Amino acid sequence: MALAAKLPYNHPYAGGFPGLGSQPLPTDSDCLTYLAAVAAADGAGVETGVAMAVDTFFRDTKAAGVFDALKACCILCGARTITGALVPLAGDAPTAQGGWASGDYSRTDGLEGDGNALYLDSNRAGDDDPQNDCHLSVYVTQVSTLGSDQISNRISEVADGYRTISLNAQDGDTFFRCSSNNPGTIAGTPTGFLGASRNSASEFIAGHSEANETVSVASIGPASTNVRVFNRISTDSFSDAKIAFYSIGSSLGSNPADGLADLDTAVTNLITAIGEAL
Amino acid sequence: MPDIDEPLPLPDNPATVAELLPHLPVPYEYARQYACVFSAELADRLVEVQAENPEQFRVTPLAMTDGRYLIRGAILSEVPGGLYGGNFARLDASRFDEIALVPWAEAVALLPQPDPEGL
Repeated sequence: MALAAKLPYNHPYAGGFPGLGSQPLPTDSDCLTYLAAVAAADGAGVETGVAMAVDTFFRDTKAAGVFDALKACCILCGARTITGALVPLAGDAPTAQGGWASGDYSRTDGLEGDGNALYLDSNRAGDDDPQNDCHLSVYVTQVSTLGSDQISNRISEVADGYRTISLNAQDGDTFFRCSSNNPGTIAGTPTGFLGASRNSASEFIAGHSEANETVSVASIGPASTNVRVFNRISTDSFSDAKIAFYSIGSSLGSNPADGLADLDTAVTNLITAIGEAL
Repeated sequence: MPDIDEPLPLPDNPATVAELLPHLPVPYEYARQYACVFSAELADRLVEVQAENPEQFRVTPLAMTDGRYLIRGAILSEVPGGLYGGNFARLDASRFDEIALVPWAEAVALLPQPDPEGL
């Protein structure tokens, strides 16, 4: 990574200096608004390399037609501080519950749960997204050592219509407003992008390990409980994973399989590029 | 004579938060070794203070099986001026000697066991 890419993206010489060459700067207007909010929270702009990774994410998700589905979303890495990492890319800012500290934050890997108390309340209600028009996603950089919910508004009964992506030591489940106990199954304990999207009353798509699974199960009315990251609503199921991104919102396009694949690619590229920039 | 800028050495086995007051904020790796353990009355007060002054970062007292409550010691790396500075300043400092510092693993062992159904 060139030294110039380490300059804050809003530094007067970030774009270049006579005799030293030039480099691209972020130009997407929504991205610039987001980066300015992160800079305000951090006290300084992120490095140009990080800013360009974010700019590319905005462009790629818009080009793929999935950007508008991100109704509550945070990039939980890249920012200089944990406060900057909780600046929302879309929707309301999450509330950091349980006693998070700056030491729980890595600029490349994201936030690390403790498996006991830490979680994020997204402040997005489960029923803010229509019954058959919804998605969730997280990007896991280190898998939880505990059976736990990574992103969830799970309450007690399947028939309550919750959404959850959970993992235990061997595998995981994706329940997505299922009317019966028939979740998507996550084989193994993958890191990387995990997501699900529903735009049909009869099935949803679960995505992980760069593959999609169609789960045929009728939908049921949505639970109203807020979606949490690193935990669920009913009996605590705290994760000690490291999570670098989450999103909540409407279905990822009219073809959720393609939408999930597009978001997977964009988020994976984002986290990889941020790691390379730092 | 010690250098005036030299930090005070951290106590090896602090008994209460009051003992750490001259050292705050303490390093994260040091702070995370401990849990802050206190009475139900102080847990209620903490919840009250946070309700009066809601901020983005909040602590959540966890009920232990012996009737006491705990929060992560890691937050002591974020006071008096960090993520929890605002509400920390509103707490009654004269009661910090009622907040025990217990090794993290020892305190967590007194949390209720998780749902065996898990997932």
